Amino acid sequence: MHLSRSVLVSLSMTICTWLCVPSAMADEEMGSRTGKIHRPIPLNGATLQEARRAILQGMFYNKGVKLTYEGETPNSVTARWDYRGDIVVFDVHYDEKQIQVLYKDASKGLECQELKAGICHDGTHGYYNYIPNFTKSIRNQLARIVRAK
Amino acid sequence: MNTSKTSGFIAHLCRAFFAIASIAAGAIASQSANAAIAGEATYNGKFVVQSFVPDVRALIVDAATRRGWKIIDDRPGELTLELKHAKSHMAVVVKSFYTKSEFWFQRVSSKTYECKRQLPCGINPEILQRWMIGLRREAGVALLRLAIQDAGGNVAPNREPIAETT
Repeated sequence: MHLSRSVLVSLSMTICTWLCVPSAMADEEMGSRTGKIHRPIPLNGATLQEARRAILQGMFYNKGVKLTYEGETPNSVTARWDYRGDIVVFDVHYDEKQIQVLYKDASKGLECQELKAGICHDGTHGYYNYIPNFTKSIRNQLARIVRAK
Repeated sequence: MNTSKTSGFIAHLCRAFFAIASIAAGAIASQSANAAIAGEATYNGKFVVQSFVPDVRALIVDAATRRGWKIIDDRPGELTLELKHAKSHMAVVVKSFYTKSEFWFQRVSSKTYECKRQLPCGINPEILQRWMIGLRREAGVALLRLAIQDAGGNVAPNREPIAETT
């Protein structure tokens, strides 16, 4: 009886670790280079219209190259990043709370090796080198818009 | 008895090998699905035109002329553009198809012209692709400007085009 209880405890601990560790790892990953691109940007009181404007201006004032406008739906803007033959297409989603940059497609040179729900967990060197500027640009534009209110 | 054990082990090994191979094949297939933009898809992707675009044709003409393209034919819903590059002796002809809701570019032909015997003169597909991407990019940025105005924002005025000449 005593033995079976200890077995049950150790089994439950193993299951718990197995369930909890991946999410903790995901948070850790989002905290590093992945997070610089895909971590949601809180709206901080901005409206949906202002969020849309922040995304579009973020695309325009991106450091280095402007992203191009590919189309949009009521809650997302499709943006394309072109540089020296390398291409990445993003769906930038926004709602009442946040803006999030999500990977949609790319050329071979910037291919994502591990994609989960629009978040690229294993990108190329170029992806992590250039694309954080885009997310930063949106964040800066949103801050400007909120400050000017 | 020994033989049956050995054959069972081999069968088990084969099953394991096929299982691993199929998982690996699936993983490779899912990886390549993350990067579908290649070849002509780098420049002939369709743009979705929103209601804030007053004149699609004007937008294409403006983007093309900014990149040094010339309009050589103009029909309803279809523009034919040409880019000639004196240094590389290459010329490319492109069609742009447009409606009120979308537009896209499609390469028609490319050739060399005024070639001299002393210098190599040929078509460089990479350069042609770069020109095409540049044209598409210019149109995408023009759309972006209109989208920003639609969202109530301001953008810096459009500067003179930089020639796509490499």
